[in-house]
Amino acid sequence: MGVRNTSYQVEQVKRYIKIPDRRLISGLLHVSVVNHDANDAQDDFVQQCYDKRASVSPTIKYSNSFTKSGESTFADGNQGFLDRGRDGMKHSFADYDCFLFYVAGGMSLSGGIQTYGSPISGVSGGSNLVSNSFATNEGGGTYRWAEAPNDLLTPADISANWFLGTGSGYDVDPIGDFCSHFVKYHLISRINNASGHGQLNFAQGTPMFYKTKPIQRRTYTVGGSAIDARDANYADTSTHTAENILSHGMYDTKDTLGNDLGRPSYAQHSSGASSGNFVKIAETSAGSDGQWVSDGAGGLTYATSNEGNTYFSPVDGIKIYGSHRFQTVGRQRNDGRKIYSITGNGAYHEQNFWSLVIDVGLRGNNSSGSSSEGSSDKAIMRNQVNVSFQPFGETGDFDVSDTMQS
Amino acid sequence: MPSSKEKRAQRHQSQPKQNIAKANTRAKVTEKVAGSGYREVQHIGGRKFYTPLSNDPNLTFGGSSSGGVGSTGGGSSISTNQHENLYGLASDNHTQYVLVDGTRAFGGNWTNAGRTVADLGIITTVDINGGTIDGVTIGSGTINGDLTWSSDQTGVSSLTLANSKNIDLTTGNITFTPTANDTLIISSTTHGASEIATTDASGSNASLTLDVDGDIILDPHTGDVKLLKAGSWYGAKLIPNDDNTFTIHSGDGADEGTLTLRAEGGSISMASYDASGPTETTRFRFNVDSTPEIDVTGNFTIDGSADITLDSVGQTYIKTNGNLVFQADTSGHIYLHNHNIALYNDYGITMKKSVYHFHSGKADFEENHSVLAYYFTPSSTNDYEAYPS
Repeated sequence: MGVRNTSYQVEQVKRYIKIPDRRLISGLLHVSVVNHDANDAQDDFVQQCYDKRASVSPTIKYSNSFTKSGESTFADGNQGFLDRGRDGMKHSFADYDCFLFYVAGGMSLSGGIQTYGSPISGVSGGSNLVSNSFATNEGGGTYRWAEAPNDLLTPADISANWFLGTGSGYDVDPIGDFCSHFVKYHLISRINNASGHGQLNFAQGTPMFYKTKPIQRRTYTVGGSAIDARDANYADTSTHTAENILSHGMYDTKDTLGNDLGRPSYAQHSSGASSGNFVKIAETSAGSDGQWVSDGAGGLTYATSNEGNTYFSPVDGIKIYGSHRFQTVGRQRNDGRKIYSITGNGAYHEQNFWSLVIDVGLRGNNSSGSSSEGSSDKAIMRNQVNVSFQPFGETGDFDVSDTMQS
Repeated sequence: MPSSKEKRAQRHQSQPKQNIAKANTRAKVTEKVAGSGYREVQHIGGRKFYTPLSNDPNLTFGGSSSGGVGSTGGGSSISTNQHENLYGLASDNHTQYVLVDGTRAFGGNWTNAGRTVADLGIITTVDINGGTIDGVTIGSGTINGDLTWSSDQTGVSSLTLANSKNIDLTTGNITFTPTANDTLIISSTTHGASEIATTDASGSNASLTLDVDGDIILDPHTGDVKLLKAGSWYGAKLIPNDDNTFTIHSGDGADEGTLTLRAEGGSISMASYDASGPTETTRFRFNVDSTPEIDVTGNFTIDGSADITLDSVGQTYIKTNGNLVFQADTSGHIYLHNHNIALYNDYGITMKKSVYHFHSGKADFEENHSVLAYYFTPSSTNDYEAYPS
């Protein structure tokens, strides 16, 4: 299982769950993300990008590979979404992305740090720092850092153990840490409505904006034999494929009796009316080659039209890991040599608790507003993120925060 | 030095001879008595009456017709004008007079109406049978009959005992009868069993008020303070215990009693008291108005030795610092943290809680199950792109 990040821009949002040291936990983690602004009823993002392609802001259209140049349908010559025939259907609700993880593990904080060499100061106070030219003695127990004469040594600095850096220049932090997280997880399922976007587009070298998190997929199809006709639930032997897709999930258009669910359940055009480019979400199979072809109007379209899962998935990816507060502080003298400490002023090493980080990478804009890659400072579309974690294990002490706990 | 008996006799015999004149009947004549001064002489009914005159301004005479001299019947003569010189002065032959030495009692009923006897001295035996005794100090004694105030209720009387003196009764009562047949009776009987009873013959207005400048002390040594209703005891009593505890009791041992504390629209309070302060702190306040409420100062624990049941006809609520945290409605739904699902809600338990929803665990390292949930959304347009427009 791995991730091929072909999405340029990610807007990172983190949440931290504070957990005590060495408590083994395991549990289910749900993450649900959906585009909306106060549950506004709008057309889905893909349809809007097509319908309003002349006015899509550069920060959106340059935010991902779907806007790679050379595949123009936008007025400015950049590739954009094609008409999916959903204008006016208010399907923005379909722009969701849901994940279910099984998370297990914890973090060990008991090992302490590893140092290299002997400290050059410590209980002897600032005198050793002075004799090693990292500080000057101002008298009366007052010392100043040689690299920053305006900075006085704090009591923590004076009492701290300082270690000389390693490397040829003695400027590499020599302090290691034996603390480690052992958080692992499985993505049990991911469901959205965006699996239909160019599943096989790698052949063209344009993977569009879709992440390729592989999911094994077993497909059961109803056979065409006489026995199948007698039993609507009879299925052929499953076909097993490993798909680099955004999971479509099971989507029923028929009940257990084989009756079509029809209009009470899914969108469709009225009888006799033009369906335009609309394809029902139930149509999930890709075209014969999945290639982009000319739409006959100067743009591109799918080679086949039987793909309805072409909504927007607001999540680029999710990472789950453990972290604890660890920060060394370094000071240098005139020749560039540096000393490092884990107890000096500004350093910290938390060994009582750690944080389980739920790192949600939302699809982000390209703040540069140009086709060149830039950083992201906004999510594409306002979204609502709901996270539920049901840990079972050796602790019930959890604290959730927007920032890492200190 | 008093004159000798002979000299007094001589003066008695010689004086009238010097100044006697023909008396004018009815007219007063002034005569000079040698060696004695002057006198007035008046003939009335053939008898002569003498009135001595004095130049001593301090000398007074009772009445206007006789002084300290004797008189004689017709034809008799006056032998002396000094009472002490009277013959037979020591003979007790004036029985119409009482004697100062107390040797002769009154010969009949004595009426002294309208007069004051300023000081009777010590009366050892007296039978006062009527009249008014006013302003008397009685040292000690026994009253054999009833001591009764005037029956017409018009007098205002008071009975005052000197310091440390007692009214000692055996089987009698002290009865107040301010109006006819309306009484206050203080009585005592065998073993000292006593009663203060009031009677309103025509109604129920014979209230008994204790209005004291100080404490009112009820001190039953072995029993209780019992409260009766029209002479019947239904079990209500105040029980002072042998320590610093106190019991208000309702029920007579045969029937269960109901104890009711009643206040008109206000509150009933229970307070703690710190004598070292001294300070009083209201611990329980029972508001007994139309919206009853119990206000408690301090930590409040309901500690039942058996079941504790809260049973409401309407909904049951529990609040923390004014915030609703528990609600059980009449349909059996339980809501935690003031949860109010606006759409279709028929859950057995619903809870409004952010982030920390549920935890069940045995101990650290043992059997901990939690549910955490949170949400976030970009707070402003600075955090997300707008839809194409």
